[in-house]
Amino acid sequence: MSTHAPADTAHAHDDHDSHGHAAHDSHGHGHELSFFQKYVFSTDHKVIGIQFLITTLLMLMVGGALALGVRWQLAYRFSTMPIVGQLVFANEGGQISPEFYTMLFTMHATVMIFLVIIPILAGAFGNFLIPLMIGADDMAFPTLNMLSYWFMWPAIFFFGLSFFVEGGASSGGWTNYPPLSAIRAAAPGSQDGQTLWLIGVTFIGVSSMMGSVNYMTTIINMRAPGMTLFRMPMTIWAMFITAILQAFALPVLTAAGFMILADRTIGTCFFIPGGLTVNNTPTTVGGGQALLWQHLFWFYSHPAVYIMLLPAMGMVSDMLSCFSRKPLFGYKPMVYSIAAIAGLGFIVWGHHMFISGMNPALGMTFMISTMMIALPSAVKTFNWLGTMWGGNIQFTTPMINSIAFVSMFVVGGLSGIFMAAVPVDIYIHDTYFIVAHFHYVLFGATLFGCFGAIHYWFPKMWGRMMNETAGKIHFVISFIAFNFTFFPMHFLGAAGMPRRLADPYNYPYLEHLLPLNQFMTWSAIVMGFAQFILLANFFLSIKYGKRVGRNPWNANGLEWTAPSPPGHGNFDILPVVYRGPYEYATPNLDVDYFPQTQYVPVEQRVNVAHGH
Amino acid sequence: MTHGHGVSTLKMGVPIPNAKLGMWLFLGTEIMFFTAFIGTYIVVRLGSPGWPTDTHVTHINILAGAINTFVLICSSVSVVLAHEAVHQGYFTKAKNLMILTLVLACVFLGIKSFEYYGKFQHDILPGHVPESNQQVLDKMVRELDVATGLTALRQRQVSVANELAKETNEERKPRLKAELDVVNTNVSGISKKLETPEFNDLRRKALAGTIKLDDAAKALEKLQHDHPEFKVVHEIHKPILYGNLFASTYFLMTGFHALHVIIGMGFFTHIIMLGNAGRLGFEHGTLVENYGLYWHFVDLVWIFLFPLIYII
Amino acid sequence: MSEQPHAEHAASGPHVNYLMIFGALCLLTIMSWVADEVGKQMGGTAHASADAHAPAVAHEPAAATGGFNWKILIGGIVLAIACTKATFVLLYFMHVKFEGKWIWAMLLPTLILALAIPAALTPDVALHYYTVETPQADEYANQQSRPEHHPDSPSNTAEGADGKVPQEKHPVTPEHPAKPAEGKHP
Repeated sequence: MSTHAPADTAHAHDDHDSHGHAAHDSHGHGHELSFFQKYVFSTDHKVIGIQFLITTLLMLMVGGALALGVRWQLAYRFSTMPIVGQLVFANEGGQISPEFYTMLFTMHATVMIFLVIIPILAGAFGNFLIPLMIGADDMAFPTLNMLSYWFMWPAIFFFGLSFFVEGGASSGGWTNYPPLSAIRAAAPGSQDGQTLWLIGVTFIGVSSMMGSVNYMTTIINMRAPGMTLFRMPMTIWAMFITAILQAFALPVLTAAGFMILADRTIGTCFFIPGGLTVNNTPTTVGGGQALLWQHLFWFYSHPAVYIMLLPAMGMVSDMLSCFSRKPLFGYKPMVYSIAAIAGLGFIVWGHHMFISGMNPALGMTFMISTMMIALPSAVKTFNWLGTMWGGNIQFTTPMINSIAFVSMFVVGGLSGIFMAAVPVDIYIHDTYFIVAHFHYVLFGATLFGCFGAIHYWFPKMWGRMMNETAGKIHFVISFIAFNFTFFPMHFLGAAGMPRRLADPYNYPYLEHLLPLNQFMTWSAIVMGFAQFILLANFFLSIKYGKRVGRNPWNANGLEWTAPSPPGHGNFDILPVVYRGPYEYATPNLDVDYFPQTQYVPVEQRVNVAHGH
Repeated sequence: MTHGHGVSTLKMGVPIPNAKLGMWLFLGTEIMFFTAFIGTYIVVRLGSPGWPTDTHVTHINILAGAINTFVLICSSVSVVLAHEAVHQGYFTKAKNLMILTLVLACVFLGIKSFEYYGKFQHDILPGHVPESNQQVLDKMVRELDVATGLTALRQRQVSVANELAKETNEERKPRLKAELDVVNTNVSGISKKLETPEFNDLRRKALAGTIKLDDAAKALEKLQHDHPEFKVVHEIHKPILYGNLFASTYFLMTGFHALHVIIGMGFFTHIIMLGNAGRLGFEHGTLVENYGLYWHFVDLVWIFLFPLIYII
Repeated sequence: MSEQPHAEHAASGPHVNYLMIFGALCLLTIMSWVADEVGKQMGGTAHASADAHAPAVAHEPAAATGGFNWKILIGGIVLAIACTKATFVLLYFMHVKFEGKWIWAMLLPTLILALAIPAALTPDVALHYYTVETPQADEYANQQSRPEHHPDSPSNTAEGADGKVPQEKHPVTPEHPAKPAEGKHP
């Protein structure tokens, strides 16, 4: 970028010290980086993004394996798991014990949320795309960026370690409610496993905080000339707003995490009520409130739900517009509705707590604010439909995944409205209905969006295409199996099947649900194994994919003007931006796309505008 | 677009260096971090039917808090003057001001640790504060048992017995049994050794709750006078309603603030080292400013902690 | 850029009289200390416990001082002073006054969120729409209201010496109505 950087590289390594981005492009030139500097402890945003992507894809398989354990138990309770059973639970005769079942679903959620969804969106795509799409040479703070990746590994380590300590991994659910999580004697998993869980989440919190400060600074301050705020692609808007959500919600969870850690280790009593006896332990002293944790936790974790969705929304907007060969319908309303979702997202956390004994006045408030989120969400949905309407749709793998995103988001969003209403929620809270809801949003929407994004930006990452046929096969199998797995959960919830029970069929009124659960389990197994197609396609295409040039999709964004894969410093020509990223099918151009960097002299602009 | 210092004209954005923008955003996250603690303190305190405010009970020293406020204000001034000095090119002056700031931070921590020492001395620690008469007596008994070594032996007794129960290897059982016998003998040995009338009387009555607190205090004092090994038992004080919650909030809020002070001291050391190496220059203006911003934030937090903890 | 100190010097423009701000901050600190002292004199209960038998908790002084709650007044005053001090530090030491509008775009939402958390927690945690179960407070009230008597019940000496923490064995109706020791607190 700014090639007139001063020669003072002495402190360019120090993030606090970088006077402007200018200092950063002086490294990388002039001396060869070692293998470690280039691929392991790299400060290049593209390498870090790909590191995040590969790590999260691996964690996706880990989380999926944990989920299959849960599903196995629900279909064939306390029967030996094929193959894995004898390896993992040999001393229980290959069975999943109820205690282990609780650990399975807790760690499934933990892995999927903290190690897959959040890092794949913000970490992988945020890192890879932000500088490329705004025309910057790198992130504002490359070293901080590297640290934010490497802070994920201690978390992975602690989560993994927690399975091997006495009592096993955390089993209080990913929501970590006290007193289950605050009192060591409460459950086997409430011992050291719970402490490790909290430490791991703290690491994730620090990692995300570093990432989000970096993203905000980069997006605010490092845009290429001409890249005004309202010329930014939706992906960047979504990443920006996600970073804001993360930066201002996450510290609250980190603080609350420290409080509960102190409750467990040094005897504080923030969340432990006085006079409580758990499993014959001494009565607690003090006078904290368990409900306080729920408030602090959901103050982060509800915005986190949008952290897990908004970036996918942004990326899908870009893909839909590109493959419909049409401008994005209602760009500014899309931006405002993302901002509205984020703003409302901060004041709806109480809808997770309707049956917690919360003050009814708060329940009413939260119900109304939650209902209001439906408005911007509907604006977005209709705008996506409007984008596709009448478009020259190309059914590529990214496109079909994006369409799946929109449709699954509608299903998940509509079931959300049921739970937003207090009276309905009292019935369906903690049933499989809510499990269906959030899997539709997190898997159905976010993950399909990510699958699309992987296929879409893969050529930019490696200079090669992923296999289209394999991509479509993966999509079809995943999509059908996904719906077979999760749609019946609505019925289970309506039938009153509670979540988090190791053996729901103990209760006669749930016995008849066993065959349905077995069907869902087999669908889930198919879905889980279908992901190997994605992995194989991804890793084989890196080596054997079809080579492509800079702009294989004929898209408009700045990233497509950079080489594929972009070298250090990203752009060979300084990008200057003249228009927004959605100028597809502009009349009287030879091609149906109009890159953001393409300059049109004044006399031709008239022609373009008036159709001569 | 922009023409501030250190900012490329080839970029969109606000006219300040990235590092400064990043620092401000980071401070935004820090505001939320401390909000969680301070907000928790406020609501928990409002929600508790009682709260210890008597300074004789809580060992909160308003004067110490006020002096610490003063110290932090002084350090804020010195750090902002250091920033100005760097901009004007007086690098030695800037370094000296940084040394002054570092010293003031040390003074702050010194006063803070003096306060902490008082709390530890009187055992006003989270989870240690008895909130009813019986808890006062129970705590005394617990500490007496620790002093005599009974607690440790009992724990050993339980763990050896558990081990014995779990042991499946017949060959190892006799060894464990022998160990259990030794522990049992020790327990009864200690019990015998302690069978002085006043100790037994105090312990029994305390457990039953049939002794007044001031009588117990007198008895304990006498016991400690006769047997110095009981000096580790904390002095008896009145039950402090919500003393544990008070201690929890106090220690976490001031503790995390102190942690931030320590991190700030690291920043100042960095500048001082640059100054000593003679490398401090105009290019460090943003760096000094950022460290200053951070330090002012630490000061800000204390400005709110002082009235919230010490006065209200 | 940074190699042009003169331009920079001009840009760092605002010449604040830091010593004056420093004086104001010191004055405000003294004021909050004075307010506290006044509160002690007027309220009488904020710190100096007049009644040695009183529990070591604050009780509402409203009744004692003719319906006027000095504690709340003093609390309000010192918090207002704290806010003033914080404003001084923000505006002058942190140079917010001399920054562009962007700083407000960042600070205001943060401040609103920061205020929103305690505000939203208040209805649930600070105000109780239900009766709070506080065993220790109940027990304390019991001890205060019941006449003193000394049941010489035999004790179970083994209990409490089992290595576990013997806290609150008599949570609500204590058999041990001893009054708090007078002047025994350290």
